[in-house]
Parts: sequence; structure tokens; C-alpha cells
Amino acid sequence: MSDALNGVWVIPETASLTDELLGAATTLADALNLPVASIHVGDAEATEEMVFEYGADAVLIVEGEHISEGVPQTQAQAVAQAATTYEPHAILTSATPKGSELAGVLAQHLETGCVNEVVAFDPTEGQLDRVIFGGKAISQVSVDDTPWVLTIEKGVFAPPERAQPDGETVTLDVDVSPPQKSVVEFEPFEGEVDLSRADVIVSVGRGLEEQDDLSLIQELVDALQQSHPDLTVELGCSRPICDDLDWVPEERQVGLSGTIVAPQLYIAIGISGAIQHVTGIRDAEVVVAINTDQSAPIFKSADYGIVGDLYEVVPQLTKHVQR
Amino acid sequence: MPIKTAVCVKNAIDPSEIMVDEGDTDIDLDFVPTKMSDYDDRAIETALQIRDEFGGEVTGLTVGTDEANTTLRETLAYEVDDVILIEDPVFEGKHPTVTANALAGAVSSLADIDLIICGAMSEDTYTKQVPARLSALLDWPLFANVTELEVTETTVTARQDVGEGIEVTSGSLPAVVSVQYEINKPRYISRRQMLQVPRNAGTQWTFSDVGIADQGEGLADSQVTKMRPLFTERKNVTIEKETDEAITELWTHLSEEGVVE
Repeated sequence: MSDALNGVWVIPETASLTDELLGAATTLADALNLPVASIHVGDAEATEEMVFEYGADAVLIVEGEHISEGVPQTQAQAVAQAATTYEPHAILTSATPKGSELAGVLAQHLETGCVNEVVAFDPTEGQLDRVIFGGKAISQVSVDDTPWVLTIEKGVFAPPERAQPDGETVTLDVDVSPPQKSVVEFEPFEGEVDLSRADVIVSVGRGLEEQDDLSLIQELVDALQQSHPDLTVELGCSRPICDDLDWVPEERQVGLSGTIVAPQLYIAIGISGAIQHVTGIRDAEVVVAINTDQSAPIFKSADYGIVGDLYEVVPQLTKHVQR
Repeated sequence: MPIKTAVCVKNAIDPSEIMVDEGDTDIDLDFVPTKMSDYDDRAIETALQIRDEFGGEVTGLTVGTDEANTTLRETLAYEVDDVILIEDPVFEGKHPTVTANALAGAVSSLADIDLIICGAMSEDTYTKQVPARLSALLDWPLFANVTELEVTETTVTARQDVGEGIEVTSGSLPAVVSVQYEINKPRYISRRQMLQVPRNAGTQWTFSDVGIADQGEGLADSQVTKMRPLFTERKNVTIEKETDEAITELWTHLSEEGVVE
């Protein structure tokens, strides 16, 4: 039985990312001719049935005192014990904040290499690709020994075709030390804004002079939403608008320190185009920039640019959309 | 009771200064300027605020080469108590595992450190591993991606950005904290303050001083085998016309692209 547990492991964190995580795992496992096992630590949201449908050959339920308390460090300790028992080739989790935390601690416990935000791999050569330098380069990394500990970038790997669930479930008891911290409470971000899933994003930056002028941008968002009822149109912003000025809630920040987005249309208004911002819009299908400064870097990252004052261009654009 | 803080800073490659031309097959990092990684002034400010409230000391730590000099002087300009450059002749501070081991060794050598504060990620490579590895090496709790921090003489309460919301967590010192960009706005330091820092200020340590000399290159568990430019193809069409004409033309393009109706 343990044969199914010495291949590629996934640690599903959230149910919504489980499909693409297994997409990455099955791609890797197929190339290496290894089985896929899903490791459920504590209160995993992903169910056995779900992961079997997405191609897992086995589920390993790791049980023990303390591991359901939601602390990634404790979970890492539990997975490290399981990995010492079964010696997998690779351990994959999603590149979420908690996934990265778990991966880093786990890799250090196992004294092995960790590669975060993997976007592609060449399994037989053992080469893993990740994006660095604000989207200007791909870094190709190899891990010296197994297991490789990897976090998988969101939205890159396609989910596997669903299959008839088939596989076995194994339980392992582990003995971990009590967590060194406790979760007091969880406050979900208000509203249901998820920029990563928006079809159109109208984003504003420092070119906006006053907070009240946000209404100009919101009117364009509303006009686009009204004329395209099938699409999700959202307001976004650059880092200064959120972090320095507090004009717009954090959940609408686009960029490396906010949300990485992939809309079909991204309209950057009064945004200069700092590297951490343009990295966040790399996967947008079409980028439009509106800026008074002809030399603003945003124009280099745009498909279409209008050099002009947003206070003149935006209201007219809104009118044009409303027509 | 005063609190002793170690704040980790990275002298990062400035990604906005990297030039790549169409057709390039590798990245030339020679002559690309370096700077303090852009989350690290937030980490310094966090440490200074704790010193303002409780007293104690702030020690800046970096792993790298002499190239980090400007970053170290900038750190000193914030009036931290000392900065230590841990020289890494092999990886130049670019290997997360080696860096984490060197920092953990430094913290052990310094003794009595209550709190380590790092930026949530570095501006050039964002490997995001150093705080996690540090916590595992020292067996201290980790508070990652913190947007608000409250410490007492013995405890930490943190608001951690976990992507879908804020998790409020608490634990006791000593601890490792990584801070998000929005945690604070760093105090202003003038150019004059920067220039007043003596050129050779700060302390230099070797891997022997932090107890990892004998492990040498063996600490490295992964290798960057190649870096290649990544191009995002954009059309770069600039429409320079009267506003109404420009908008009409823009809309025609967008309709042809099929992204609007």
C-alpha cells in the first residue's frame, strides 16, 4: 500500500485551489511515472472524494493532537514526520500565504530545497521555473535532494479531467509539539471582491488628485458593467492609493503586494507603472493606459495608450461607453 | 523591560533597473544597481516603534557582500543601534537557506534577542522563505504577513494577511515576524542623515562568527541553474489625438480585440 505514498504529494489548503494543485501534481507525477497522494492535515477543506476524482491514487490522513488548530508550523511538523516515514519525491501546496509559510517551515525541517510560486517544470531534468525581478525574468531552479518542496502558482496549471474516484485511504498518527501560537479569530475580507476573477478591471493610481474624484472612475466601472452585463467589472487601484492614502480598501489593490490579476481588459488610469504593479497585470489580455506623462513606464506595459489628462479622458470615455 | 529586536534587511537588485531587449536569452546583472528591498524600511520602522515604546536595542542584520554598504548606511540612518553585515562570499546573500542559517546563527550569537522582524518578501526574488526557515531553525513561533503588530514585554499579537482575510494570532516572545507593506509608513530620513553615517560604520561578521563556517556550501539545497528574460508582448500603440477621436479609436481597437462590445 505504501507504494502509492512515495510519489508526488499535494497538501490541499482550500477546496477552490485543489483542482489546479492536482493538475500540477498529476503532470509532474506522470512525467516521473510516480503515484499521486493527497495529504490531509487537520481540517482539510478538500474531501477524499474530491481529490480521488482529480486523480489522486491515495489519501493520507495525518492525525494527532494539536494539528487541527490551524497553525501552519504545526502542520509542517506533522507533514515532515509523514514524509520521513514514506519518503515522497515531491511535496506540493498552493502558493497562498499559508501555503508558503507551511512550505518554508517544512523544507527547513526536512533540510531540503523549497521553490515557491512554480509556474512550469521540466520533471525529468528536475528544473522548476519561477518568475523573478518583477516579471522581467524566469529563474530556473533545481532542488538537490528529494523531497522537493514546491508551492504552485495560482491560475497556471489546468485542473485534471475528472475521473471515477479510485484509491485507498491511509491514516498516520503523528506526534507533534503543541503550537507556539494560537489563532484568536478570523476576519474574512469584507464584501466579495475577488479581483483575480474579474473580467474587466478599471484601476486608478496617483494621478487622481482627491478621494472624491474616485466617483469619476466608479462611473466608468458602472457604465462598463451596465453595457457588459455578462462580465464582472471591478474597480482596482495601485499601491499608493491603498497603502499611503487609504482611499480604497486593500482588497482592491492590484500588484505583487495586492492581487495578481488576469482580466480580459485592464484599464490603468493615472498609474505610473511601478514594477510591482505591472508584475500584477502580466496576465491581462489587453492593457489600456491613460496618463498625462508620456514617459510613464505604464505605456511600455500597455497595448493601447492615451496620453492625456484623466479628468478629461475618463468622463468622455464613460459617455462613449454609455452610448 | 526593554525589548531587543533584530531586523533583517536585504540589499536587493533593483528590478526596475534591469534592461532586457527582445531576443536576449539571458539576464545581465552586471552593473545593475542594488538598493534596500522595499519592505525592509517597514520592518525597520516596526522595530523602531517597539524601541520607542519599550526601550531596548535594534540591530540590523544583512547577509551579503560589501555591495550592501549603502543599504547598511541607510539602515543606520534610521538610528538603529548597530548593523551587522554577515559576509557570504559564495552566494552573496542570494540563497534563502544559507541566508536563513546565517541569520539564525547571528541571532544566537547576539543572545537575548526577543524578536526578529523581516519584510514579507524581497523586492528582487521574493522567495519568501527566510522568515519561515528562521522560525524552524530557532524553533520560535512565526507571524507571517503581518499588517498590524502589538507586542508586550512577553507576548505578540498579530493581524496576519492570509489572503482571504485577516487571522488574528497570538503567542509569546521570542518570535519571528514578517511584515506586509501596509503595516506602517516609515519615518522620514533626510539625505543629510544618510550622509552623516560614517562610511565604514557597522560590524562585519564572517560565517565563522555565526557558527556555520564548517557547513560551507553544504547548506545550499537548491541551485538557480539559469535565468532567462520573460517578455510580455504588448502592442504599445500610443494614440495621440484629440480626446474624442482618441477614445473612438481606442474603442475600435478594443472591439476588434473582442474585449468589449
